[in-house]
Amino acid sequence: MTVARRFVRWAPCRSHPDGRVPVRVTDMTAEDAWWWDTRVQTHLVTQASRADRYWSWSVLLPACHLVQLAQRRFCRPLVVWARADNRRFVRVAMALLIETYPHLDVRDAAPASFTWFIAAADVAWMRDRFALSHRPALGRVLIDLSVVLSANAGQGGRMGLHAATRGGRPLLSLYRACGLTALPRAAKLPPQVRRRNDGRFFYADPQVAERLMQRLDPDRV
Amino acid sequence: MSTKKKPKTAQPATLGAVLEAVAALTARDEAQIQELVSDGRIAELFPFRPAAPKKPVADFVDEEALTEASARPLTARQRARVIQASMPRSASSSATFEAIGDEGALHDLVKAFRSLEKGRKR
Repeated sequence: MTVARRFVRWAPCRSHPDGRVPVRVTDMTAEDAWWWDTRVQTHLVTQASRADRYWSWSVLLPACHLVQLAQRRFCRPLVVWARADNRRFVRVAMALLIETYPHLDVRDAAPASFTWFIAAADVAWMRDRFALSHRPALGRVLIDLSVVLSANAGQGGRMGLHAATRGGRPLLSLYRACGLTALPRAAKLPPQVRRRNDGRFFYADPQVAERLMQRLDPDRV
Repeated sequence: MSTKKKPKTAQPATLGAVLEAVAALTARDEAQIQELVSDGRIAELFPFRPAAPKKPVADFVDEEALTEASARPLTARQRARVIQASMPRSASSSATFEAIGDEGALHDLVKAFRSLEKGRKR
C-alpha cells in the first residue's frame, strides 16, 4: 500500500540559494480570494506580461465550483502561505485544481488531476509590501499540489494543464523547467477537451510524477 | 487589439440567472474558460461577484491559526465545507452575492450550489 504524501512545508528560497522558506497549504476561502484580489491582484493588473493579469479570484472561486459541479467533478481550491519576516504567514500563491479530469495523453486513458488556475505573487511586491525578504520559489510547489492530489487519489500522479496564451513563451519555459512533459501539438486531446491543441498543453505521466514528487519529498516534513 | 465585449447588462443573481451563466460556461472546456478569464472577459458569461467580507481580512496569520489542507481525497462532507467556504461569510445569507453593478438576490447562489451538489454522484 502506497503511503499518502503530504503537501510540501518548505520551498526553496529565491534570495538565498541554499535557504528554504516555511510554507503551508490551506483550503481557499472566499476571504482568501477577496484578499488576493484587493492586495495582490491590484498590482498584477499592471503587469502586461502576466497571464493572470485579469484574473479575479473572487469570481473564479464560486464560478469554478459551479462549473465543475455541473459536470459532476470537484474543484479543489488551495492557498500557499509563506512565513514573512515577522514570522507570521502571508498568502503567496493561489491554485484551482480539478480532481478526476481526463488525462491529456490519450494513449493512457486514465483519470488525472488538472491544474486549472495557478498564480504566485510578484516577488518584489511581496518583499516591499509584506516584508517577505526570504521569498519562496513556487513553480514546482504549485505543480506538486496537483501531482500529490492525483497520486493520493490513486491516479498515479497523472496531471495536466494548459499554459495560458497570455503567458507566452516564458510560461512554456517555466513548465518545462518544472519538469512537465509538453504534449506535442499534433497529439489528439481527450474528447472532453473541445479546443484545438495549440501546443500549450503539458502533463505528467506516473513516471514523471514520481520523479517530481521524490524531488520535493524532503520538503514535506 | 482588444476584443473585449461589453459585459452583459447587470441582472439579479437569481438561481435562474446563475444556472444560465453556468450552462454558458460549461459549453466551453477548461482551457477555453482559462483563455476567457485571462482576456478579462469572464463577466461576459458570469456577471456575478460575491459581496466583500463584512470583517477585514488580515494580511498575516499566525502559524497556529492555519489549518493545513489535506492532500488526501476529501470526503463528501469535507467537500461540502470547502464549497460552502467559497461563499463569503455574512450576517445575512441574503447579502452573499450580487450581480455586477446591481443589488441582486443572493442566497439563491447557495441554493444553486446545494442543488448541484445534491445531484452529484460520488
